[in-house]
Formats: sequence, structure tokens, C-alpha cells
Amino acid sequence: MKRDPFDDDARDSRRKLLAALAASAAGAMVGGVRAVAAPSALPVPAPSEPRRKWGLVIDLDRCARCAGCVVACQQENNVAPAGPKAAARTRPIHWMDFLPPAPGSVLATPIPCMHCEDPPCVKVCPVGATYQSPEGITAQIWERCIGCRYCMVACPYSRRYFNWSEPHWPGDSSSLNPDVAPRPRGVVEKCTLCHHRIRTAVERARVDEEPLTDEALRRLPACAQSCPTQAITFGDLADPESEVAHLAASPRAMRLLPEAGTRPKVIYLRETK
Amino acid sequence: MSRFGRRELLSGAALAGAAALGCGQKKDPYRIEKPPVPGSRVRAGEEHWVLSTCALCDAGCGIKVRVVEGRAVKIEGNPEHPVNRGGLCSRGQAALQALYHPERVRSPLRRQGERGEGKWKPISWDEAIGEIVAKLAKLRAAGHPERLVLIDGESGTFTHELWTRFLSAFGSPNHIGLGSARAAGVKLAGLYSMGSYGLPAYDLGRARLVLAFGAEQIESSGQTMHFMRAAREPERPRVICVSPRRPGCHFDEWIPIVPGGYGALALSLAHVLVRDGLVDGEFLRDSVSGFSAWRDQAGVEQPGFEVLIRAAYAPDQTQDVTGIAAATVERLAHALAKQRPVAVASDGSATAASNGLATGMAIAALNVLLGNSERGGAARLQRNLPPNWETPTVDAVAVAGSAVPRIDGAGTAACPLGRGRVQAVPAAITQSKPYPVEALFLHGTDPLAALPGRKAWHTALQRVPFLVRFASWLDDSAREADLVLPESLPLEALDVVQPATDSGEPMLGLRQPVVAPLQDTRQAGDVIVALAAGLGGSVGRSLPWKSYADAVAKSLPARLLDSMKEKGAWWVECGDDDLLCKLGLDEPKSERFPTPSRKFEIGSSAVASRMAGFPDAAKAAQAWPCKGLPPWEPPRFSGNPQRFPLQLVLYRSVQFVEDGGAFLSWLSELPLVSGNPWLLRAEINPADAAQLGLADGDQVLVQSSIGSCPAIAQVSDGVCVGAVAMALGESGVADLVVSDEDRWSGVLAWQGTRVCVKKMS
Amino acid sequence: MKRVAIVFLLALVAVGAYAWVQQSVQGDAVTDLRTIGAGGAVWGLYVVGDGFFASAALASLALACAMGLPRSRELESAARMALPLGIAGLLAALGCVLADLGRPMAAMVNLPLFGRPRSPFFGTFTLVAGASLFASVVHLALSSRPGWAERAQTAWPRSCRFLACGWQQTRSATRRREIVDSWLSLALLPLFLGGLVVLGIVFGVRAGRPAWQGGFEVVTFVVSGGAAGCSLLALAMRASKRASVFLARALAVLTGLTVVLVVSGEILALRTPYPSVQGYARALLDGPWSNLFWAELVLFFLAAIISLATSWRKTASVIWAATTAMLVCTAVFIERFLVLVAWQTHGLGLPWPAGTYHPTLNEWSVLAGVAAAALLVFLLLDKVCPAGTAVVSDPAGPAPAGRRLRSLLAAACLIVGLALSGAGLVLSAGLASAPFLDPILPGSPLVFLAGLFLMVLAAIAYELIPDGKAPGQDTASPDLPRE
Repeated sequence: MKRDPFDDDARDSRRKLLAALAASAAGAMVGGVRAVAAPSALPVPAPSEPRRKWGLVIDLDRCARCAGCVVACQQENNVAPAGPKAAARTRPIHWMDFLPPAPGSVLATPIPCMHCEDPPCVKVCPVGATYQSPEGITAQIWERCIGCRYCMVACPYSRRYFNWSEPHWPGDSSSLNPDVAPRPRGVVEKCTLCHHRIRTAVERARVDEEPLTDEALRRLPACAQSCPTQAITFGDLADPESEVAHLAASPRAMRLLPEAGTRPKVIYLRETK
Repeated sequence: MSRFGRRELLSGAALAGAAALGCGQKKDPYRIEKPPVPGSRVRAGEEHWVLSTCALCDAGCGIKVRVVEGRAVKIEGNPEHPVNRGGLCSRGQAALQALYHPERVRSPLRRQGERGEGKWKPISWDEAIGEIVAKLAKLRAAGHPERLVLIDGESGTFTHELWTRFLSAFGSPNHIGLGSARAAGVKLAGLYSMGSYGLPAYDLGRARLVLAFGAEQIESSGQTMHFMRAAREPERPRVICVSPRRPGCHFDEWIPIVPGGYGALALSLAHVLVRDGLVDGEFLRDSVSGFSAWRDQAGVEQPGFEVLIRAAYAPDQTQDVTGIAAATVERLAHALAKQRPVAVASDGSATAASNGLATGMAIAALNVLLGNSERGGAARLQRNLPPNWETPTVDAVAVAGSAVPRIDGAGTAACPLGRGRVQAVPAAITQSKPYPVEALFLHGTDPLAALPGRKAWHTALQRVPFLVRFASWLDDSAREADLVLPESLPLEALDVVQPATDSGEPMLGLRQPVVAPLQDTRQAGDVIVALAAGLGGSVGRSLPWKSYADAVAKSLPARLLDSMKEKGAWWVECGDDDLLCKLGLDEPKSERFPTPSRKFEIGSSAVASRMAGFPDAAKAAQAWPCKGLPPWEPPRFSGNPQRFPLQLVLYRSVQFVEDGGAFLSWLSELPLVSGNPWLLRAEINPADAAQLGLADGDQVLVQSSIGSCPAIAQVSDGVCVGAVAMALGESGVADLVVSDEDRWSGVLAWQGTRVCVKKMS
Repeated sequence: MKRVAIVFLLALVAVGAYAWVQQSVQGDAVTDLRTIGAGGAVWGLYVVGDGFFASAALASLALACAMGLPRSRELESAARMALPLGIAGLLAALGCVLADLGRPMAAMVNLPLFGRPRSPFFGTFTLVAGASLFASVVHLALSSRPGWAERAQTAWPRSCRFLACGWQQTRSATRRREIVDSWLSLALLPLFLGGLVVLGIVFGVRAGRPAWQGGFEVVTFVVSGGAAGCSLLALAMRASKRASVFLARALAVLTGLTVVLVVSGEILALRTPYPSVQGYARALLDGPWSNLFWAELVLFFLAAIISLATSWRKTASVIWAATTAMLVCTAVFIERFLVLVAWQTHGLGLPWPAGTYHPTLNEWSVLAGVAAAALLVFLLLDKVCPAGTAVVSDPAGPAPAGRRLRSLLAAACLIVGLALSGAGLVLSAGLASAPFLDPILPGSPLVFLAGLFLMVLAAIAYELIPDGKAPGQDTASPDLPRE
């Protein structure tokens, strides 16, 4: 029996109206001040350190299409489920999504943000809510986003999502990850390559005074961690010794829509025939 | 300053600030609001990881759960665990949504008013247990303990073992599992040909080629994780999948097959192997009985499998039954012979037909022809490590009760070779045959949703005077119950599970309570112990523990339990020699099979001897071409082919969760289909769709002879012509299925229903 | 009749406001916009409305400026009508954008604080919503001064006198008026055209689609926007025959050119090797959007023929102007819709399922409300900003006195404005402010905007600085020759 856990949430529209009005008024006042504050930036490497270039390699030959990465991502990053009503209008949010098979193929492709080296979404953002971090992550400052969705139009991979309504977790929000802020209505959100996990790992390595090894990084993002076939590998593409760099040099390596000129840092390994 | 005071002060300040701004109190849209966990004594920011074992299927993957301030916030795979090595599928990770689901039953409920009316009175656990104990004590006093029936959807846990122990001490033989509705065809084939009931262990990591009969194993079953882990190997096995529906998961080649035709394919592959001399002669000579002519126990010469297979099942003969071209079969057979080690793996969906057992045995035989068993490649015996409890004390009432035949006819002439027929329960209850059922416990399954014949089940449940449902949600069968006992979810409970490994070596997984129970729930083990204590007497003495945790502590050596707590599981590599010796695992696995002949028996002596116990069956067995091997017959389908031209193919999707899970939005919204993911889909081949005038996305009604179910048509070339594929576990799908079965083994013929598809206006 | 129309418009506004409230309570879930790739379009009716209103407004303003340049009295008075039209159109565009934004309040804070010149949106909110609107208001206010001064004698003396800012029908004032008018026209023409092109870029250029395609669409956008502006202008100004003929000619050229551009764009798209472009072209040709596409072509074609006939017969009738305006505006609206939506539903490079977009009643209501409000604004402006009696200046007359101060101040405004806007642009662009490309100083876009405003204010300074008491100056000579 399929139940709709979202149904019980009878919403008091008047309360919502008041809340919305109050929120927008206060948001306008508070938002400005808050948004001035520097966004939670990734640690900028010292000039002597070689600049890192984070990337993912997804091996389509190994990928089982179990969608474990999808749920891992949603749980890690506090992506709210859509619920039957919003899902009926194809509005679920999946930072890690599955691209339907291309004509002539039968298997879907897991597709996170491509973290392009030349990201079109960053170019069009009118308020600098989306930016490219020094380590190559296409990131987004939720608090600054004004919800114009220009980035969604510009992204050739359709890897951005708009919060069409207030996020809602059936039951309570107990299982939310305290490391990641949820996004309110009216904001565009996207894959961050789990930058909070990267930051934790980098900080931990710094505190422990140990080098951050490639082994410790390979399964760092939630999707890569959960992958039962280890089809997803994370690492520093700028480090020629890293696993991702080796894989990216494979003859099976390919990128999606190379003609878009975006130079994605998510690299796929073709299936072996 | 106390927390309360500080919060008050802060909210007061916030209010004042908001009032000053003149804009009312505003909720920070980016703040994560979490209610404090009642009774928890955690400090702010405190977090830790708890090792446990996943419970969303029977693979037994090791998990580690991140707990922040007393709340479980993330489930990840345990990187040390041999089953999943850090990976975890979508289902396992969605367990958190079940844990915090708003519709969980919060306390024991007693029914008020009519059945199914939905009026409940919350009661205390003492009250609930007292009520059940009174009922059960009355049954025992009347000398009819067998009138208590338990339908237990769980297997492979110590809770399951505890139920067995409770029922044997109580005196009821009716501990009915879902085996016949699951992979019993494969497991029984293992019993009869290899001497041990259970899924064979397929060593997929070493195999170069896997021929998968049925897509369930690579898509959504306890074996799936083994397939996925094997895919990590640098030289991963090539997976050829034979099934009527193209699996949604990774495969290298898909060979569509007509539903129910698996056995014929296995036999025709065997034919080619034997004909072309591609069999492993040495292995067949040393370790297999029944391949060439053999003598049965009576000393009568019996024709071997070789003769049988040479005479029939040539690929061009089976072509019509399987829908697979002869050339494909030839190619496949040669590939199997060339790319050893190979594994011919089979799952429940391949044997869920009226010829289930014969199919299972044919596939098992194919493995030994290739020399797979107990060598490289695949198909080994699974060893288990049951709880080491003392033998229960049983009184005369219990002995008498246990001797009564089971209500589902297991071990009777109704299914001479089977071990249970859960599908026979509704008729038995409704007709009070062989005896009336006074009390029914439903644990770990909702038969109204998960088993075929909803109407029959509904009638049966109405007839049961005392129905107890152990449930976390008010599902369909809980709505019919007299008492609903809210079960703790696996993340709140302690248990030990015995997952099947692909090495065949025993393994134990520990489920630890990750968070304190969120509601007034108890795990079934504690309820069983409390029931036994309430009943007292020999039943109480058989389960002498204070709690289920106590029972678990007594079940295994302390060192082993300690090791499990540290690693989340115990497997052979963890054990020191002493411990292995104590557990009887010090000796390497025998090369011999635990069958009477100590060999793999293609013609099973166990089959022969069991059939001999039933005169009618024995007569029928006389006509079998190969003694001890049920002959493969074309599958039987229910429904008039004129009215119901299509065959219903049921599959377990990636999202499938036993006993519910369709309402977990993480799983329902997986982006594996386009359009509304919450809708039930009926996949149909373009050729059939064109004939029926259906387009992709049309609303359709799928009808069988006993029921109907609305769905959305999905036109896809991933289904073979003449079939409609629908996902199991979704509401209404089981209503379509006619509960036909294999007449020898009682295996439920899930895949044996014909349907028609009509466009809804 | 007029009262009924106004009541109807007010009702529409009320409906739109209600729909807007619904949207702000329930979120954008009340629209049919969905995630791109997952079967929908993220930009829909609101952005189409924005593109339509803004382009029509900018085009009519630009046309008016162009018409003002030859200094023909007849054309000039016609051109003046473009100002209320432009203001109303730009306000409507602003309304559409606000309805579209997920967080309009945050936008009002964050755009001035962090606006980023790399984004074409920077151009639309500074050049279009900011400078163009401000400039048109200033232009309108200045050019209405004589009218207000005249009206002050009959009604609302105080307000009118205040608005007239001490207009006196003097020779020098008239001369100044003229100078300001022509310079404003000249200076604003590139602003309006620039705004139009930036809007075209927002609509036309998208990542993953070949450059020529985007370029083509920008040109089509600008040209068809011109057609819409032209047709509305022709409708808005009544009477003047010469201007009507001029506009009809322009309209014939613009609509004809649009048809050519649309058809050739479609043919080119069909023949490209890019599957995404082909998918889009197919969806227009015989796919789900074909009805709209063919309707658009037919409408443009009809409008071209009608305006050709009008210009040839040299007659101007309100009915025909209204018909043409209706045809052209519908066609341009469809053009905007197709360029924007069909790309998102059928022109994706990756094999996402084809999408759909059927605007909900809520979206239509908001759009209708915005349009109605804009029409009301136009009617209001038309009423309260009277064109004064046309005056003829005497070029040979004495030069306006107090010239030095005026020129100095105006020049200072211009120079400071230019410097400010340049500095604002540089600061906003965040040159060398890695890593986030934020403005170096939060709020720099405001500096840029302030610079632009200041440059427009130069006109006010020039016109409003009173004449000095120069010797020999005839301070009051009300008897100017009239036409």
C-alpha cells in the first residue's frame, strides 16, 4: 500500500501568508547583512602549495545503476524529498541524477554536477551566488541566490535544481545532516562535490599534520563512498599520481557534451564491449 | 546558565529584535531545527558512528551509522565488512526515512469496533502481553497449541530462531515462513542435489562469466551486493542475464526468455555441453552421482542424466518453449565451457513457476556439468552458525501439538517435496482444515500486500479469532488485527543475522541499537521472551532469559560477540583458532556433499525416498524418465489465453523492500524512470502495445482472472513480446496473481499468471 | 466606454494581485515551471512577458529617439508618445521579472550589493530596469513641463506648477528644451538599443548551443522587438499622418525582416549537425510547438502585408493600427515564448526526456494583471503628462543666458556620472578580486547605476538651472510666435 506521508501536512494558508510576508520583509533586511559576510569558502591553498583540481571519475562499466549514490547524496546534503504531488510534476531534486539512456543504449548514466572548468552557470549568475572555488568546485551560496534560474537555463547538463516549494521532511527533521544548510524555497541548489566533507578531511589532515593522501580522498564525497561497485572515484586531477588522473588518462575516458566547451571535471569511463 | 534559560533568553531576544524590525518573528530558512531527543543525555555537537547490519534485505551488509546528538543522520557501508566493503545500495540508506517516518505506530494498539474499521485504543505493553498470554495459555490448557499459527517473513535472524524455539516449546508446528513465495525453488534444489537447504554460494569474484537465470539477483535481492562487489575486481565477471524483462541494473548481455522457460534453457545448454563433450568429466566422475547410469538404494539400475539429456532438449527443440534461438544457446554453451571459472546463478524469480523445482535442479545440474561446484567459480554450499542455546524442555502438550500436521500441508501429500506453502494458509484457515486456527501472529510480512490472493487472505484474516500483527506501520493486515504490536525498527533493536556469503563460509552480522527507540516500541525478540515468561512452565523454562539481549548474549561465545561489537560482524577471518575449533569450523570445508552418496546427486536419492512416502506421488514418480529428478514440464499459466493473452512478469525493482518500503520517498523518487516516479507502471513490448493501441504513458487496467490493477503503460523493448512486467511490492500488483504452485515442491508460481491490458478512458 | 475599460483593467489587476499572493504563499509550485531536463522549462511565461514588454518598450523608445533626431516637429510630437509607452512597458517588464524571481526581496538587496557585470542580467537590471526607466521618466517629465505650466492655469495649480518646475514660455527656455530634447534623444538611443541587445542575449545565447544560433536569435529578438515597439507606437500616437506613414514603413520592414530571420533560422537549425538544435527545430516544425510556430509566421506575414498596404496608401486609421499592433504583439509574444521554452523542452544536448510546459491559470493571471497595470500606467501618464503647445524657437534669437553655470554643471554631472559609472563597473566586475569575483566593494553596482543616473541628471541640470540675471536679457517675453 502506498501512503502519502506528505498528506497529513495540512497547511494553514493564512499562517503561511503571514510567514511569507514576514519572511520576505525580514529576509530583505537580514539577507543583505548576512550575504555581505564572506561565503563559507574552501580553504585557499597557500601559494606554495600546488593548486588542487577536484574531479570525479565515473566508471560506467562498473556502475550497477543501483542508485545508492542518489540516496547517499540526498541524505548527506539534506535534499528534501518531493512527495507524490511535486513528483507528479517532475519536481524532485536529485543532485546526483540518472540520465536516461541515449538512443541505441539501454543503461542510464549517473550524472552529478560536471564541475566544469569553464562553467556557464557561473558566468550568468547576476549576483555571484554561484562561483568557482579555487579548487575547481562549482559552488553556490544559497543565501545569496535570488532564484532567477538563469544558471539552470545556462547549464548544458541541467544539473541545477530550483526549490519550487518549501522543503518538507515527512515526520521531523531529525535525520538532517548538521553540516549542511537546507535550502529554502526560491533558491537554486546543486551538487557541491560534498565540499563540507572535503573541508573536514583537509582540516583533519592539517590538524594531524599528515599529508592528505589520495587513498583518503578517493571515496570522500557521499556518492563515491556509497558506491557498492566503487565506480565513482574522487580525487585531485591536478596531481598526476592520483587515481583520478590515472583513470582520466584511460582510453575509455570521455566527457559529456565536449562541444559545449565547458571542460567538465567529471569524467566518464565508457563501457567495455 | 541552564539550557532552558538560555533558549528562553535567546528566543526572547529574537522576538524583541523582530518586533523592533516590525516584521514579526522570522524563521531562519537555513537553520536546521531539531527537536531535542527526549531523555537523551547527549551534549551539543556530540557525534559518533555505530556499526551495525543492514536489515532492508537479507544480504546482511555491514553499515555504520552516524549519530549526532542522539539522532541517526547518515548510513554508510562499513568498509571492513566482507559483504559490501563500504558500499551500500539505495535501500539500505533509506532505512533512516523509515526510522523517522511520521506514520510509525507509537504504542501497542487494541482494536475497537469492527475489523478494518480503523478505531484503536492505545494500551500498555503489559496489557498487550497479558492479553496474548491469556489467549495462548487457554490454547495450551485446551490441548490445542497447534492452533497458534505464526507467519514469519523474516529468516536468517536469531529472532527467527527464537520464534522456532518458542513454537516448539509451546507446541505448534505452524512456524510458516515465506520460503515458497521466495527462492524456495533454488533452495530446495540445493537440498535435494547437494544435501543442504539454502541458496548456493556463488563465488562471483573469481568467476569470469556469470550466467544469471533471473534478473532479480543482479537487480534487487540478497545476492545483488555480491554481484556489485564482484564488479570492483579489475577483471570483473561478464554478466549474461536471462530473464523476460531487461534488468534495470548493469549487465553485459540480456537474453530475453519466455516466462517459465528457464529450465528448458538450462537443459538445452546441458544438452550442448554433453553432446559436444564440454563437460568436466573428472568432476562428474568423482563428485557427481546420477550423471551416468547408477544404482538406487534398492539396487535397481537407473538411467543417468546423460542418457536423458542426449535424447532430448536439443536447442532447436526448446526454441519454442524458451523463445531463444538455437544458435544463441549453442554460443552460450560454448562460452560457458570456454570461460571457466563460470557461475550459473539462479534466483527465486527463475524458479517461481509451476515447474520451479525441476528448473532449480536443472540449473544446479548445469553447474556441476561445468565442474563449478566446490571448485573455482561458483555454487558452493552455505554453512551457517546457529545460536548455541540449550535444547528446550518440552512438555507433553508441546510434543503432541508439534506432531500434528502443519496447516499449510508441508510434509504431507499436498507437497511431497516442499518445506512450506504459505499460499495454502488462507484456504486452511477459511475451511478450518485440518483444524481451526485460534490465533495468528503476523511478523515481518503483510500477506495482504505481499502475497497473492488478497481476497482469500482477507477472508481468512476475518475468520481468525485472535490476530496479532507485529508492525511498524498500520499496513493493510495491521488494520485487520486485534492487537498491533509496534516493532522497533532494526536501527533501534539488537539482533544477530546470518547472511549468506559468496564463499559459503559462515558469517554473523550484528544489529545494534543505533538510537534509543523513538516510540514505545519493542523488538519481537523481547516480546517472545516476555510471552514465554508469561506462559511459564516448560515454555518459560525453554526461554529462560530476562530479555532478548540476554538471549543473544547466551547464544554465542562471548569472544565472538565482543569481536562483533568491534567490527559490526564476525566472519571466519576474524576468528582465532580456538574460537574456530569451538564452533566446529576448524576443519576446512569438506569436498564432499552432505548427501547419502556424499556426491552431488543429479538424480536425488532424497527426492526418491521422500516421494516413496506418499503412495500417489510415488506412482507418479514411477513415470519419471530419470529417477530422483522431477521431469521438467512446460510451465502452467492461470487464465484463459484468449481472454488473457499476456503473461505477467513480476520483478523486484531496485526500490523493492520486503514488508513495505514503497512509501519511503527516497526510494519511490529514485530517478530511474521518467515522469511521475510514484506511479505504478506496466511495461509492455512495443509490438504488443501497437496491437493493443497503447501509447507510452497511457492509463491502463491490468486484469487477471482474479483481480485487476490500474497502472501506467510504459512501452519498452526491455520486455519480451507477450509479457507485461510489473514491479512487486507495489500496491495492487499481488492482487493479480493466482496462487498456483509447483505440485511437487509447493513453490509458489509467481510468474504463472496471464493478464490482459486495457486502456482506461 | 473608457470607464468600463478602466474598471475591467482594475479587475484584471486585482486578479493578478490575488494570483501573485497565491504564488508568494505557496511558492513557485503554483506555476507549471519545472526542472529543466526533468521534463519542463524553468523559464516560462513570466520571462516571456519580461522579454516582450521590455523589448517592445525599449524598441519604441529607441524608435522615438531616432525619430527625434531629424528635428521634425511632426515626428517629434509623435515620438513623445513613446515615453509613457516605454515607461509602462518597462514597469511591466519589471513586474514580470519580480513575479519570476524565486526570492524577489532578496533580489532587491543582492542585485545592488553583488550585481556582477559578467552576467547579462547585470545589463538588464542596470540598463533596462534602472537607467532606461529613469531616463524615460526624466525625459517625460522635462518634456511635459510646458504642458504642466499650461495646465496649472486651469486645474491643480499647485501640483502642476510644482511639476512644471518654473517653466516659462521664454525663448531661452524653449531653446534649452529643444537642446535637451535632441541631446537626450541622441544619448539615450544607444542606451535603449544596448538594453535591447542585452535582453536579446539573455534570450538568445545559451550554453551548449552553437554561437551562430544564439547570434541569430539575438538579431531576431532585436528586430522583432522593434516590430512590436513600432506597432505599439503607431497605435499609441493618434492623428499625425506623417509619423504614421513613417512607422508603417518601418513596421513593414521590421516584420518582413523578422519573417526572413525566423524562416532562415529554422532552416539553418534543421541543417545543423547538432542533435539538440535539430530537436528544437523539429519541435517547431512538426512537433508539439508547431502550431505556435506556424501561427507566429502567419501573424508576422499578415502584419507585414497590412503595414505595407498602410504605408503605400498613406492612410492612418486607428482600427488598422490596432489590428496591426495586435497581430505583431501576439506574434512577437509567441516568438519569445518559442525561443525560450522550446529550447528547454526539446533542445537539450543530453538525452533527457522531452518536456512540456503549459502555463497555469495562476501564471496567466499574474501576466494579465501586470499587463493591465501597465496599460493603466500608460493611460495615467498619457493623462497627467500633457504635451504642451508646440513652440517654435528662433535659432537666431539670443543665446540662453547663464550658460556657463549651466554648461559647467551639466558637464560636471556628465563627467562625474561617467567616472562614477566607470568606477562602479570596474568595482562590480571585481577585477582581480579572486576567488569569488565579487564586487570589490559591496554595492558597487549601485555606484554604476548612480553614475548612469547622474549622467541623465545632466539634462535636468541643464534645463532647470534658471537663467542668470544677465544684462540685456529679456526675462519675460510670453509672446513667442506660435505655429
